[in-house]
Amino acid sequence: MVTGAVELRLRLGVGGAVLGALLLLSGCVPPESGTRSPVSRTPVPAKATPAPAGAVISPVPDLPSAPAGGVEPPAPPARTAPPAGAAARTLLTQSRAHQATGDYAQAAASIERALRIEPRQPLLWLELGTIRLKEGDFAQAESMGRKALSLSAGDATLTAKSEQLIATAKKR
Amino acid sequence: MAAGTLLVALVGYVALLDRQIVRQFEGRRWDLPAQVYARPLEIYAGLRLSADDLQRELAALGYSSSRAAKTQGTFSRAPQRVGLVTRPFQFWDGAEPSRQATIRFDGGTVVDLADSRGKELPLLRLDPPLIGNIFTTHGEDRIVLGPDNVPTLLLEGLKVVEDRDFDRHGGVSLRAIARALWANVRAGGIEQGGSTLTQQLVRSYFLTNSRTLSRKLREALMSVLLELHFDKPDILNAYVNEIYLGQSGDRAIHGFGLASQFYFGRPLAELQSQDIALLIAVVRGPSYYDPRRHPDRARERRNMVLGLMAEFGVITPAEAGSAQRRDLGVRGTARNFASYNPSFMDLVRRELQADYQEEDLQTAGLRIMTTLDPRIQALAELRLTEGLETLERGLRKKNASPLDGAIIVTGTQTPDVVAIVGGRNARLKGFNRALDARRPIGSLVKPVVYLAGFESGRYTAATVIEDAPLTVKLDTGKTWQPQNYDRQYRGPVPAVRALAESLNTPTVRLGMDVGPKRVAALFKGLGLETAPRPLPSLLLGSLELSPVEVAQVYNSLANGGFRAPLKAVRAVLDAEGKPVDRYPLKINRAADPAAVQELNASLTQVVERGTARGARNWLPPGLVVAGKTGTSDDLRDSWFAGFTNDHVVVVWVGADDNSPTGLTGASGALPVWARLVAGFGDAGYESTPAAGLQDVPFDFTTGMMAVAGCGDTVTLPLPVGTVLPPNPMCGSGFDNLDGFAERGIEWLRGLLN
Repeated sequence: MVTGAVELRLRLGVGGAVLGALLLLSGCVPPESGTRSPVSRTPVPAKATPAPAGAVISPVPDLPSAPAGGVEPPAPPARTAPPAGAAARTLLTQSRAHQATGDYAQAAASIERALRIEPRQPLLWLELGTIRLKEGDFAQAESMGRKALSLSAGDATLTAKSEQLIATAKKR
Repeated sequence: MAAGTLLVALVGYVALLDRQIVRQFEGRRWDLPAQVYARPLEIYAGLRLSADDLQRELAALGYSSSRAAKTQGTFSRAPQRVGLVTRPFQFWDGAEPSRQATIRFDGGTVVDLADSRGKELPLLRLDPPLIGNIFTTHGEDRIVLGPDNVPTLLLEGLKVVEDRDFDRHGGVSLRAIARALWANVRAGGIEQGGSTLTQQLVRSYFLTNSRTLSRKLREALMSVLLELHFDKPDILNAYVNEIYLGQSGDRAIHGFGLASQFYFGRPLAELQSQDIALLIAVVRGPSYYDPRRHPDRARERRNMVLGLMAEFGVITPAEAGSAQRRDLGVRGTARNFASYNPSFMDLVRRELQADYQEEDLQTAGLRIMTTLDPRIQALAELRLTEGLETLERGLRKKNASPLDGAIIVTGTQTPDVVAIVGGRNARLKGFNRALDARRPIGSLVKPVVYLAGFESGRYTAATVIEDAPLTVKLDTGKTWQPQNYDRQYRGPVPAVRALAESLNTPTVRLGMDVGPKRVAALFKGLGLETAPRPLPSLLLGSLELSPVEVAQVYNSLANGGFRAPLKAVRAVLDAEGKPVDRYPLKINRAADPAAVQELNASLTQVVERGTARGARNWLPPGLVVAGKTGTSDDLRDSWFAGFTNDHVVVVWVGADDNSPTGLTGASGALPVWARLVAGFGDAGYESTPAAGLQDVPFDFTTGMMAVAGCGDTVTLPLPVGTVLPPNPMCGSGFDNLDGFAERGIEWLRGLLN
């Protein structure tokens, strides 16, 4: 009676075509990432550099001076995204179990729980994007990739994975 | 012949009644109002939560305090430690079993969690607080219990008090009637009903309390028929779920499951004998024995019930004696019930309307899982009420229209709406200002104007713009001469200062340069249903938005330029806890993330150096927040919208009749906002490193290069390669002239680029 009255929605999975891309991506996101080193952000340059009175200080002393014409801007300083905490890792493992049985809705729900705990963890956004890819929601997969990318500045590995997710999603 | 006709008529009548009662019993679909739940509290190491916070949450959930928490729904408390046994709950992503755990705190932070054997727990999820039900306006509400979920003590107690022959009679009990008659004759009035539980059930089905003889006869006949068709346990279980046990406003409390929540705030399974006895006492007259309004009467009858239970061996006399000495233990108010958070429930209903029929919500027993954070919600209600009272006391015009206001709080990287206050009397249903009051937003527009500038690549936070009178030619052929709020002009200022001090003429200059069209389109990208009209006046806030629309735009900013539609409903489960629907997280890139980081860092200067400096009086020292003040013409609307690392908060203050309030964004909405945010315990806003940005120090006043010990240096993330003008005010002496000239040329080149 109850369920009859309520609209039930089925979210269908997507065929094997996507799976190739997935295998590629599933290697990207390690189930546990406990071995990463903590964040190392660039020191703020020249904030309190002692200078003789009247000296003119370059705004960005530790960088080559600004390009006069279209030279590549210097790469952002290297850093490593912080590792996911124990709670997020537990949920990531749960999500992986759901993904293994093809239950992508539940898998995504676990990642969303983790994101409420660590909303700035690029690994989680990557994982959610990967699930969307498996479901065939390429637009969301791409958006999640872009979100992960925006949180991965300076981390070469995560940047590459985010770009790969975006590229895979865009190809579809 | 006549006798024959009579017999046929009688048989026909009985058959009719038989059909009626069987259909009623079998086909009885109890109307099950949807149950609406707040977010479940997830506990993990590092969570900002104090032992007091957790105790409040547990108290709201009806967990009882005990020395050693050993049974479900109990907790024990030490200064920096909470032990508890959680209740099981069926969530969308699976069943959460009951777990025994110990949580250790260090002040405002969770240190660790361990299970009963001392093993570390990564995560513990409590059952979510019930915040409301969606029921018909004249409707019945109940929580249906299966036979396994009804304590034997309740069933035995009911029989002893209401129907001692229940297991033997066939629907009516002559002995009971005789006993009742004798009692009534002795008392000289109606004291004791002779109705069996079956008769009471039948009476409840047909909702009549008429005592005419024909009704009584019909009721008795139906009871006998019911007993012929169904066995005793079925009838008893129907009784437990059907009977009327109280009233909360226009909401009728039916069944012992809901009554337990209504009176004690706990599930029936967790009640003690004195609590069960009180519920049995209430059966006889929910109004007459209302334990809230008539505690003495209710207590007397409860103790009588306990006495009977002991007399007939349901409990021991010792148990009865100790239970009789207990307090009623009823929750002080029915606060957690009915429309506890009408403003938030409004949003829940609106979201559900897209997918569900009103009837399903009122009858299908759906469980609605929402994003509400009860702690933030309660704090927001309190701060708005207090804040408006304080503001009114401070206003000189005593006969002005009363102030009202609205607050909406969301997450920052999520679209979760965690609190909504729709007006100063938050408990009253009515006009929901947070959702429905569309007011001019004034300078809340400016961040979007500057974002458009940053995205264009032609402006950075350090770009110097002229603050001086200007004339804008309009399409209509007329001209527009925007002025600053204080009618003062400061000459060349960097964009961040123009934004922080909410200067109008540099904003219009920048806005006209990138074009109002671009600003309007960006507004739509950030989450407005429709793009505003791209008129020059848009640049200074001739845009009417509701607080929830403002929250959507600022949520996209806090989210680093990603738009996620705000939501209050996470998932819907059916009455058995099976998943029905989930509203997954969806995001879309709405603006260049680097430009948004630059903007957000600039918005911290609104509070550090700009129009919202006053917030420092209330914010915890060192807490970095980003935000913007907004004031509409003639001081009619006072706004502040801003965010920490964890929450986006929008506050509006104004008068319902749209009369001037004498308040600016900084003097009206800002104090409410800052006092509220101070109570969150949030982490301060922290900018995310972005590709293409580099922290650069420069002079806040002029936008020139920073010189130590000279001027007011601010450090913001600017696009890599940004070239700043040299600072002649700080440079002196000929020894630096060469460098000065070099820098000057470099700056000119930068401008030409």
